Amino acid sequence: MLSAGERSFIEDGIAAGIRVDGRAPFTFREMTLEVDVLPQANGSARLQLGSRTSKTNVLVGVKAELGRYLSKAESAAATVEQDDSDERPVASQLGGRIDVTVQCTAGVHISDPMLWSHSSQSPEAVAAPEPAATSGVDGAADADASAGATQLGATQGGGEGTLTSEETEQLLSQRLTTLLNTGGAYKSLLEVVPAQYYWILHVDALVFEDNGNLLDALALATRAALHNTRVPRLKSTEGPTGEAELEVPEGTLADDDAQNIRIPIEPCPTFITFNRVGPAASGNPLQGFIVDALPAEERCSSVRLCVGITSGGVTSTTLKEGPASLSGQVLIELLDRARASGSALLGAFDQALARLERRRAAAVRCAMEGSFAPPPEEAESTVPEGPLTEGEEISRTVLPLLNVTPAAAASA
Amino acid sequence: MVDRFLFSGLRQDGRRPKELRLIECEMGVEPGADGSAVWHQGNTVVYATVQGPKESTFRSRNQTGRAQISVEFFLAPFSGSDRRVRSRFDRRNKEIAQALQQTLQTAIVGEQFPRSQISININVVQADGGVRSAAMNAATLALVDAGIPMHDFVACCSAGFLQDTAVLDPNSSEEGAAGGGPGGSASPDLPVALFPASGEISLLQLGSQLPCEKLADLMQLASEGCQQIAALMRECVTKHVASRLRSRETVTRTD
Repeated sequence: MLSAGERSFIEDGIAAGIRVDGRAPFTFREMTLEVDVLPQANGSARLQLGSRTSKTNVLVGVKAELGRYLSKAESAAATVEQDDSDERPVASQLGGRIDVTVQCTAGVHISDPMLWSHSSQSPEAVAAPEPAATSGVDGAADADASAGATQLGATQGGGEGTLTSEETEQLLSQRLTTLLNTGGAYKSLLEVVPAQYYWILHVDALVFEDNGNLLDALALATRAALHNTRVPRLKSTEGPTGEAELEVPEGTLADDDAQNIRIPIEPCPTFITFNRVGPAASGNPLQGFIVDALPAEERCSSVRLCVGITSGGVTSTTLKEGPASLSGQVLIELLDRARASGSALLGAFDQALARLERRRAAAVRCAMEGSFAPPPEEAESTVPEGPLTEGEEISRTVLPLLNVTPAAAASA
Repeated sequence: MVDRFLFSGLRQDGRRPKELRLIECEMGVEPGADGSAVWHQGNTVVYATVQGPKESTFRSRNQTGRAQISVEFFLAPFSGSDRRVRSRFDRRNKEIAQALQQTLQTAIVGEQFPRSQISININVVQADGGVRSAAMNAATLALVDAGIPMHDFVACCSAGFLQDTAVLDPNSSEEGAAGGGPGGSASPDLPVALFPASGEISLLQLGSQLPCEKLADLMQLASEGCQQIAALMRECVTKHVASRLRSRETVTRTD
């Protein structure tokens, strides 16, 4: 909990345009990005948001699984077995998709002050919830999650009706899965044999530390992991029953780009979360809004907007959360700002990914030319960036503080 | 049956029967925790963090005159060759956590911190055999990093049988080798943890059938592995302490 003094210190600071760690309102913390960290996964990335001692630290691993559409006869059999009242399509009919599961590692508990269950409120409040309590696009999902966890919430919750760590994980998983699959771009990209086989990409996101802005960090880390995800290029032959039979061509290496399919990240959206700290101002609609909030700032926030945005500037899943409401004008301004911020953020992020990719290619080239472990300087000399700076490695790069205000982005 | 040994008696990953995998370890990897360590053993990667000693989460739980260790164990869904999501109440995870808790409880000097709790969090990022022993070693280094007084290190290593040959530190494909054991049973895997100074064994777990006389051989082999690991741990601690001292020296100089 925050004391009144601390709260007013944070609020007054943001009203004056300065945050507790010295950042401007629309500036992201320093990011450390490491890719291809797990040899046993198809793709992986580790993202750290913030400094060494207080950071949000997530690790994402992607594992590909081959899925198969059921034939007509099989799906008919499956429907008979299924409960008739269940109208949802069978999981195997959904086709190629990205499935995100967020989990906390041992000893880590996440709590989001903006999300709460109704369980610990009085029965009257549950019967007639305040409009604010169910506001937001995801209101129905919130209600679902809290209904199932009435007993849990009372005993394990972070106090005052906030969701338990498990419930928060479920909500974040659902949100990221929705974000990545909206628009349906990946459904066709992940098709192996049309109407028969497809890839399911299981994205497992582990939270090692949560020091604010977890949702954005998870979305960015997922983007980085998808960028280096490789699935084998399968050889399809027609079997005796007319069904395609798939096999991995002999001699396929997990990291050879000619034998694997890369996942394009252009259609992959990311979240940018805007928190409003302090009351709404009449003059400037964006007054009090910040990006990449620290935990203390999240606790002072009265309303937030999570905007899903692609590098092309297309708005995807968008959620409004928190007890306060937003006027239509503020909302439009925010969405505009999200588009500009999104292209600045994703531009810088994708540049970092491309930099890591070039370094890796150079390192592989050096290794092929005979020396088993190329010294980093040598690998670096073939890429335009010059020698590695402090804290960098071949597969790790540091993105400095990033200001996503349109003016700053244009001048940079 | 697939031959588990290559022509010259080497194992499939090129090791001799009594050879450990490449081990790399580092302490103080997580500045946010009181103590932390990462343990790489071949492709197995385990992170351990320690919080405490602190007041017990449930005060009534520990009214004893010594510190209580609690262990939380997490296995990443992508850690194995196939993806598997384990629940928080997974039996295997609980069993490993319990084995770690019991062993480490005897290793620390708990009397120094009455009515308090020391939490150890184990995160397995990659599992390629020997997870139990890697977790134990990582936890020991994390406890040392946290400055918890201990009677001795706990060094842990496993040994198994492959086609009637005792092998040290089996990886996951060797652990799962069917018919590796005598009588065609699953190949026995025997993790042993010991206090290297006295050589006393504090953990021994065998999950398959094994003739008595072979058990003694296997235990002997695992103990030798533990001593090698203990030497590596001592080296790691010495290096870590030296680097800490160096960094402190620079701090006093700037003052």
